[in-house]
Amino acid sequence: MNMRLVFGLPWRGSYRHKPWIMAFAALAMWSGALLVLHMTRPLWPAGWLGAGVVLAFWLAAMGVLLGSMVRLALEARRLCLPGLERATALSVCLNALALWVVSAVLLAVLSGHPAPLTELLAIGLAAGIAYALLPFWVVALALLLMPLLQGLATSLHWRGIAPQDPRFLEVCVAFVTPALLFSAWNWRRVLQHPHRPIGWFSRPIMLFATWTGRPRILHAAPADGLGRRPACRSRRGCSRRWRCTRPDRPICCVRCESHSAGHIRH
Amino acid sequence: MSESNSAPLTAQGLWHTYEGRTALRGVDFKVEAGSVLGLIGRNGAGKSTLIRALLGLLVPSSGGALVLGEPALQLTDRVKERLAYVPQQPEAFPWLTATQMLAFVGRFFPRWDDAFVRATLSRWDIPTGRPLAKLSPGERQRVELIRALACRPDVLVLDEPAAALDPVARRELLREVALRAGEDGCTVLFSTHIVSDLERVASQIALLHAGQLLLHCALDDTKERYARLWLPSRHAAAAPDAPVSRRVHSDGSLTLVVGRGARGDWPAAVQLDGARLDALGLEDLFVEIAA
Repeated sequence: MNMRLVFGLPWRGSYRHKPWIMAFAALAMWSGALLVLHMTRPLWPAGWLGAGVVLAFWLAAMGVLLGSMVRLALEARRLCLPGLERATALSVCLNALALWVVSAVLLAVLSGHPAPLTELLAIGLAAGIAYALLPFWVVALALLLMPLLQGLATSLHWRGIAPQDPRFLEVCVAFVTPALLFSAWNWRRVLQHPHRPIGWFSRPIMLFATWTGRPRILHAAPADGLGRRPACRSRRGCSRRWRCTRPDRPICCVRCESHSAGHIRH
Repeated sequence: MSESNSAPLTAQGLWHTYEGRTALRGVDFKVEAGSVLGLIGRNGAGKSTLIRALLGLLVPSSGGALVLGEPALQLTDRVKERLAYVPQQPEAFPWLTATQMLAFVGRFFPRWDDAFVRATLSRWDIPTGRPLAKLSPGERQRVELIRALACRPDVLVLDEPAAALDPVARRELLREVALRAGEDGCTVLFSTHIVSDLERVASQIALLHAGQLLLHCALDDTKERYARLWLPSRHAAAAPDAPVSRRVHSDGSLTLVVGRGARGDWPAAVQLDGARLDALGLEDLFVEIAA
């Protein structure tokens, strides 16, 4: 498989302004992180942590972007395209790994605190990927079980642990591992039945996205008489036009018929 | 099963149920290599479901399908490179322009024909600078058809390809399909409910009604093999046992679509006093069966 193509998939398989937005975001966040690192060094010994948090947010945004590539894989599956589905999964893994390693190494070299920053950046990246891929019910369940999770964190003595603490590694592993495993499971689940409608409760967040302002649900039911596709794009517009139709107004009837013909979705 | 002794597309006892409604009822059929099979049926007859099940895009409740000798649910890239599919709703890659999408997708096909893409985009007058989401359904359908044809497939599967096309584009598409089948030996399966499209290009037809495959034969044979038999009410009890379709009128008379038997003869009821046998055109046959 062509590795240039695999690494370039988030760029090539996205809309045309995305590479520029991503490049600008990377530049802004890295500049911000370096600025925080440089400015806080004389005043605050733990200033490197601020830079780490800034970059963790950037990696979270990149994680969302990588997670949203499930749409590309879904299109590949729906159209029976060879190689693209596998290339997309590989691209997410390799790009995530590369982003994490490069960011962690650069920041560690500049700040001198490799371990906590690596862990912090891993949490940011995993949070972004999980945000894009986890179904609604997991988010709902996590919110419902929040008191239980807090209790668990207290009993494991994880509450209030700062990144400098050696036990932060345990927190990192406890968050990153299930988040990534669950995301991978859901990626696979979504692709297994590309034409089966998925209820909103179990749909990954990224599949609620809109393109060009028009809501587009990728798991719309098939339209072969069993689906629920609307026959008219603008029901209000249709009904307004049809209101004028009467047997004594044949011209209006013909106009309405020809107008609505353009709105029928085959 | 080796590819050499199998048809490019095979359905074996496909059953499928959606939300308690049965969409496919034990469909068995093969699409022979190099043939153009028109799958005809009313809206909701199960055409798209059958196509998806054939291509492994849905897991059937029971039965299975083979594409170029491979199980449809586990298609390898080697087979996908030889297969092109255009779904009923051309909604793929809405964020890309036609040129970007075709250039992107083309990288995954070893036999991608760039010259065909450029020539057809220009010939079909497709706007290349706007995202696909902003094109009309007909334009998007044509872009999808270019994608499907540019990879030079051995098997081409089109789900109601002409539904959003104007008559000129429809003619061009049918011409292209006929050319591919005739010159390249491409096997084509296309679903439609437009009978005239079938008559132009199909070599075989399969009629699907309420999830059942009611007939599957060469297009030229339909007139010879099937006819409409009208029986007066007094002979209703003598009607043939398993007609293709059967309609009872208010006066008790029957209209049946009957086929010739294994020896090429019509059912005995044809000889009954007052019975009438009419030849059927393809559209009449479709209406008689599906009405």
